[in-house]
Amino acid sequence: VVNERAGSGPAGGGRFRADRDFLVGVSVPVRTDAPSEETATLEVVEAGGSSPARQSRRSIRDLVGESWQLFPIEAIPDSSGREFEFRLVGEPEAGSIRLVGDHGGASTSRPVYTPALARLLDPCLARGRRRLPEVPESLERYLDRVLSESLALRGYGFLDLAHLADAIGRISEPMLSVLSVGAATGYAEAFLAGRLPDASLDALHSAPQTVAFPMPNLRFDPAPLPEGSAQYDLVFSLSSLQRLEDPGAAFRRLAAHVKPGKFLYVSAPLASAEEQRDPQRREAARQFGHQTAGFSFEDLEGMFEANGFDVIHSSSMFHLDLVLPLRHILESMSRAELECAVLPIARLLLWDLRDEKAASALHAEGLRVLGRMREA
Amino acid sequence: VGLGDLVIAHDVTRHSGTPITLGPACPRLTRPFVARDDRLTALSIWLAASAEPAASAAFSLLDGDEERVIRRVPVRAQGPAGSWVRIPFEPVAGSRGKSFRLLLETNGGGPGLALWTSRRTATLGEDGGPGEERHLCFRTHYRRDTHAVVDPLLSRYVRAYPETPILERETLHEILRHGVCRDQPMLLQLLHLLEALNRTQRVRRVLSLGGGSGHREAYVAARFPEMRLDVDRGVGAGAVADRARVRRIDVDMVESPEEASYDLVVSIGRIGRAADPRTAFRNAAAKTRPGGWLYVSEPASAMDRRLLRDDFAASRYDLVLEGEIGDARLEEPLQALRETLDADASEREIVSFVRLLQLDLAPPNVEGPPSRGGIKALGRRRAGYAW
Repeated sequence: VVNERAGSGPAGGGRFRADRDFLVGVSVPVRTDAPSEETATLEVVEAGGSSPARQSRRSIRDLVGESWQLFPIEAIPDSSGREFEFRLVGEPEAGSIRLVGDHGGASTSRPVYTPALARLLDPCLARGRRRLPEVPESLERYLDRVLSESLALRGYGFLDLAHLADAIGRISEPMLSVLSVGAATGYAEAFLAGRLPDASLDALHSAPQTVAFPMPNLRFDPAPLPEGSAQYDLVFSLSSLQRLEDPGAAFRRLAAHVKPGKFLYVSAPLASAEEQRDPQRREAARQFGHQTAGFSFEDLEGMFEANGFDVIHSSSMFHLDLVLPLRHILESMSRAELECAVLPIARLLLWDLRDEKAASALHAEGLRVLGRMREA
Repeated sequence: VGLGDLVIAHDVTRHSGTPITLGPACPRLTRPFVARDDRLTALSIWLAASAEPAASAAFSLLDGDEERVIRRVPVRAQGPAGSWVRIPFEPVAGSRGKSFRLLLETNGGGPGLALWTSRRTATLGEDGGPGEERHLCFRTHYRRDTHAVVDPLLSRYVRAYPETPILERETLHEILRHGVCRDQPMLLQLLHLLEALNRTQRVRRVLSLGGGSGHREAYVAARFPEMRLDVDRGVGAGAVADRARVRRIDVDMVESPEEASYDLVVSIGRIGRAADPRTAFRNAAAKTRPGGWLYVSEPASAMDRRLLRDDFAASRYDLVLEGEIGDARLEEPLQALRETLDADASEREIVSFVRLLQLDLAPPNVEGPPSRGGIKALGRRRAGYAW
């Protein structure tokens, strides 16, 4: 770190080599001498280049004294091994921020891309006796990316996957063939295929697949659900049952693909019987292309029972005390900020994995049920 | 947009009809006004550029008395047709009732910028009659209900004091903002303290034994005008300095065995730090009236839960509330998330962070091993004699 006193020029800068791809932020120790109302800009330049590759502007209003500041940038996908220079620029007339360079010239870059994300759902998946293989290095960044992207959509995709992982963790039997029905973005399927390499995963998707995934055990099939011959150890459907006109018939077709003694997992929006009749909720559901406002626990568990399944676990998901405030925060975040905060956001979202059955959509927006088909 | 209420400054000099053109003949325009609310953060002016390319000017906000520049922002008008230009700047804390001057100036070259006001602003205002002209619009930075986000925790007292005094709202807002942006552990402790306070009744006199910055005490004093707070030497001076209804006592109360008759005694992270924690507890417990309450919160490393229970029993207190504080599974990611965001958090973020922290009060049955930072307990002193 080159430490320069800020004036009209830069407030300091340095140089680093990124050790991973997807560089999304630079953390620097800065010192602000007085409470300031200004902003500071950090520019990242490819070594030897002149025009900034990325810029990040932050308010330094609440900073006094010395602290680490994160300057998020738009991700640089192929950053691994490349050398970058950065410089911190204060407001022309402020001069109240400077880099602290007294750390023995230590590098101040901290790529936030983290392998921990690829393993985040391991405790869920391995909660039974399942033994998970090590994450191969070649797959690490793909798993990380798959989760980051599903979080960046700011919807419920990541949570739907986390709840599915939690359900899979409750199954201790080996799982060699898995079918996903109504796959949307494909991120959940890609993550599972990567983390459960012994299972072959077929995904029937409702929308054309735009992202290619490198997992060899994952096959996307655009065909509608064929008449089933029971051949899968696990069939799952994530938040898609509500889109179908006749959910009962669709459920029967899902159930027909499950081997006797094996498992079916369904997640869907939650709505009590009264809420299902509410005209406002029905209209809101129609606007999302849903045929129904949702299902109650009795509805969904009833379908499992009627199709020869024992319910192993059922609980509510998307609890509003968590997802509502978190959604407000996510909406205010830039893409760059989101990239930097992917891991804490994912960890916070795990607070949704609860052993609860909310009675109404006023407390939770979804429900999930895992059932095992009776042998006889 | 989405920042808060629109407030009109009525005392701005009016220029309806005729535009003022800034240019070589008149390079500067200055107008006095009095801000109606705190955290003045933006100004909307109707601007037109009388020449292409679009003219630019500098906006400055001046201290009304000293003519000192407080904020300075470049502005640019969009074409001759004109449009409303919102000039946002860093919020000016404590602006309510203060005099300011706004200054618009061009660099003096070329026909530049037309500024005028018209009746069109009437659609933006909230108050005043339909015929009244409205000229400059100010937007307050904080939503008027931000401070109320924790009120549901205090249902018992909020029934008695439903409204925070207007003059204290900014204080509450600033303490919440400070907690979210800079001192999350303080905010978490404050939420737990307020939850405990809701288990008490008719508390008027409070003694705080310190172990903090004073923000928690300042919050309670500002929210409930009936309460009187004494803080001892252990409490940081900054946040409670000059606060009405907060009195500093220059004695270390946990070292003093003297009895007192407070309705509620609060010790956050103080007893565990004392040279002899058990004596300190006895001293603290002697400071309430019979039937009064003692709230103790300590890091898990400083105090054992069973010992704390024994201490309450030995001092003839019945436990009313017992629990844990600071689940790392919630607190750590929340802190990390906060650090990622811009230092100047929006109102919506502040409210959302406070709501998320409230999950720590009654943690749902979440998967995974809990990881707790501290313990808390509220006890009520038995009335009557100890035989």
